[in-house]
Amino acid sequence: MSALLRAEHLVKEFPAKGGVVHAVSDVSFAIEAGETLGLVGESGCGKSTLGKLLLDLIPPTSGKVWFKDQDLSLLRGEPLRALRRGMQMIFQDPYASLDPRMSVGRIIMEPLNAHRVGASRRERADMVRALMERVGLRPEFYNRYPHQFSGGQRQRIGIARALALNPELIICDEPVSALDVSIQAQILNLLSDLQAQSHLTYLFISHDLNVVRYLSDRVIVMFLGQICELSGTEALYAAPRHPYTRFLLDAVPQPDPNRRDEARAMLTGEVSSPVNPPAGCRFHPRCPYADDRCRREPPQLTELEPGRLCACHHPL
Amino acid sequence: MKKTFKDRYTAKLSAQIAESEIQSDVGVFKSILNMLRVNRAALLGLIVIVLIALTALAAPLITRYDPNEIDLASMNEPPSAEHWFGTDDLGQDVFTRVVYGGRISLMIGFVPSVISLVLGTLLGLMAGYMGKRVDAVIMRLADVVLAYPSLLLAMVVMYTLGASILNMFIALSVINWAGTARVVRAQTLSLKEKEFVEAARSMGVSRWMIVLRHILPNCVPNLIVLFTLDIPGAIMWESSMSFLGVGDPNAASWGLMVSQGKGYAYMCPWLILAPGLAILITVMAFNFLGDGLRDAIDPYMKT
Amino acid sequence: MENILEIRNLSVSFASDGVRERAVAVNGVDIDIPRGKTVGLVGESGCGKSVTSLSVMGLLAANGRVEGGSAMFGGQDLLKLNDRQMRQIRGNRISMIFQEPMTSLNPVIPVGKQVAEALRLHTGADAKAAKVRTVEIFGKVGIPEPEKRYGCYPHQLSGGLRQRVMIGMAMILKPDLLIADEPTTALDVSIEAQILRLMRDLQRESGTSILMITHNLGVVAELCDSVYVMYAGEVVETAEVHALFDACAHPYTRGLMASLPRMTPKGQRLYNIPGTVPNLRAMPAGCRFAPRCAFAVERCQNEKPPLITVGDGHCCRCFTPLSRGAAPGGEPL
Repeated sequence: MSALLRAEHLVKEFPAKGGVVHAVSDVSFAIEAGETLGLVGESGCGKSTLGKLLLDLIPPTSGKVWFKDQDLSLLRGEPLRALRRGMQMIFQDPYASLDPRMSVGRIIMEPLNAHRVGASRRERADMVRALMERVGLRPEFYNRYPHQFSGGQRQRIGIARALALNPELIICDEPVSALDVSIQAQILNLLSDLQAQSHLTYLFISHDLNVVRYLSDRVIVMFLGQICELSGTEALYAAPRHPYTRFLLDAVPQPDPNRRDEARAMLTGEVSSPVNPPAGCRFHPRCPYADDRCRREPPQLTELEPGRLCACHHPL
Repeated sequence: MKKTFKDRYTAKLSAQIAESEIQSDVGVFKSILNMLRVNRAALLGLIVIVLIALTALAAPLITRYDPNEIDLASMNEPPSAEHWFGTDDLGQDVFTRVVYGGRISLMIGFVPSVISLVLGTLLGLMAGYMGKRVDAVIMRLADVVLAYPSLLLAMVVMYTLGASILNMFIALSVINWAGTARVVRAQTLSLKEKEFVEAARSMGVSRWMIVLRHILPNCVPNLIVLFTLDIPGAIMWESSMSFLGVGDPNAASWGLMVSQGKGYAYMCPWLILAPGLAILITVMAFNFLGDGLRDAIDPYMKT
Repeated sequence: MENILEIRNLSVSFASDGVRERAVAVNGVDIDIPRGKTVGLVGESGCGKSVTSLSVMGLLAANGRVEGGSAMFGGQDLLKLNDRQMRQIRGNRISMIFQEPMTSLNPVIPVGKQVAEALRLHTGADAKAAKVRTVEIFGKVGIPEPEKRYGCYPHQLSGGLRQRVMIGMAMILKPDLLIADEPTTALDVSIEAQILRLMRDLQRESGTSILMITHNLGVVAELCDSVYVMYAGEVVETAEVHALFDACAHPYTRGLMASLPRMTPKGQRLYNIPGTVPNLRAMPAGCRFAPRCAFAVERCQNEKPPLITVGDGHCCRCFTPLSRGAAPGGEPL
């Protein structure tokens, strides 16, 4: 396997009232072709910002993104546009991510128009109908408008649009968190079917640990702009090494009433702010295992065993 | 205090929930039609506007007099069966002049509003989407226009360029574009942050295609409202300027008629009442319609 | 057991612009809330769970109308009270908390003052006593440095702290019933867990009944004693919480549980309920779930199933309730 996309020391900082938002701080990882890499974390951990950095929707403060062994920061104009055809995005909000004044056909056709795919408008329209069928939308809906669809159907429209240019990598930014449970299952199944059919690679960003577990081969856990753990999915869920991962897994309300009386450790304190994060390990103010070293010295992401990386001075 | 705030909030929330639970598939234009069915004032406004426009267009069919025909035998006659709104100091039929004056007043309402709509939209889109220096220049210019008393500014333009109907269009466009530009800029700024614009960017759609395909169409409902409210504004400004004597003396608009009749106001009140009422009715009709449109379009602007 | 609130045969309809027929959002709902218990009301968006609670509270939007039924609370029918009487009960004997606390707090008044004013409004306490009591309750709902937070404006607090303020405001008058409408949906998991634990602790201590409205079966499992499952404006199943999770009988509930990606390994398909929720104006003639149900037979299309008892306190609106262990789609999981 070769890395389809590589992030190298990515940093994104925004000026903000009262300091600097350290949205993404020195993040490096690779996505292998054909895998699904999950990215979990709570709000403000920088996971969405990271997704946008990878797509070059916002410029990084420093660091590089390599896609198919090409450095995006060195490309301009047409070559960049051509390379970016290979990466598409599915957005969280199926209401906000579709232009309310465009018909479904035009929405899905937009990327085809932008990259002048197909010889004629008719050919493109046929491609759009084929895409609609592929994501489970009736092609008769071609001329309907987004508001005439339910949330799940809208998300299918967004998926069809992302597939239009036959990308290799799709960045899914919370694609099911706005959907009802039964619809969420439909979309997750669709995503995994599409992956099997077209050898797609996913970066799957979510705050929902259950969903990430279902879909991912490997998982990255982020906290305040940094990776705290990167590991194969089953290993991570079975035995997390970073204290933060442990607390997250314990906090998820599980549909099992027998579990409620079990004594569980609970993370205290508020979600920390990425504005002027603490020195040392950024998790130390909420970590029960924190000692002096954690307050002083930021832990490095180190490989504890093959394929398991963890940034902690005292891994579990 | 806290109670009422919370109660209002919950009522709003419940309305939202109701909306989401009852999937509505009513588009903007359908909702305008619905509004016209419910809002009597707006419907009346629309009917009056259509009637006035039709009368102005079909003026020769409606009245048998010529607006400029001088009949010194019948000067300053009060309203009668012969002359519905009486005659003026040159014996011209006031009804005829009001009907023909409608052509000029409506044109003066319409043309500068179109110009300022186009100009304001273009500048607003540029300011909002390009940002930085372009934004700074355009918006400071708009601030200057908005900070200067409009009537004075328009009069300065008229004095400089000379009194003609064309220059009146220019003067009124100069004072009106800034408001439109501000609204369009504000909306562009908020649309620019919308996820569907980000989606288009992520697919590699070019900047101007994004403006043309995504931002402009989403400004249209607001522009309709703005346009409907600009027209009566322009009619009012023109009337004021004609009354003050800076209008085109050859364009017999309603404003000019009021101005010319003011010397006879005590003896022949119909000379100012007839054109004055025409201005009042037209402006109110446009305002009723514009308010109704705003109500109908408002919910679409929030989502 | 004594019920604090008994909703019987509640029906609510909505009018919308340009459509003559009113849409029935809630249809003949019965709910009992026993004193000191937590009752869950679960369902997906549009099932009528929020409309049920808002109509009981007299907070329906102008286009909504209660078509019938009753909601008996302490010997009074809440649906028959006028605005003034309802205001006496709201916030005093029944409190509500919502998903997004920011919008239910007044942005220009310090949070402590808002809570203290609510207290004074209902008890007539003087300003000093109200402040002391507010700071006390802030401490109780786990707000760190309560004196300092008293003077904070809503935007200065995090989402979790704002929700704690709302809970403090709701609990300060020791209400008989707390209606919580998706109180943790907008929060991060670690904060969600804290808020759920707080609600459970407060309830044990004060004996307040809670009606927990949520779409999250995990939250139900964490907090509730009994559960009502709603689908398309009707209660389709109700049971004690363990019974529901062990052996739910309605195909919809079974489908919902199976749709949850918890233990399903990668590569295996998740169960999903086919189709979408029916339009409120075009409800199926028979069972409302029949068009999406894997077990539907001809009878289900034509005849409306009644809510039948399938176990101790366990009712289900289905002609052929599922037995324990049956797969949601008719085949083994």
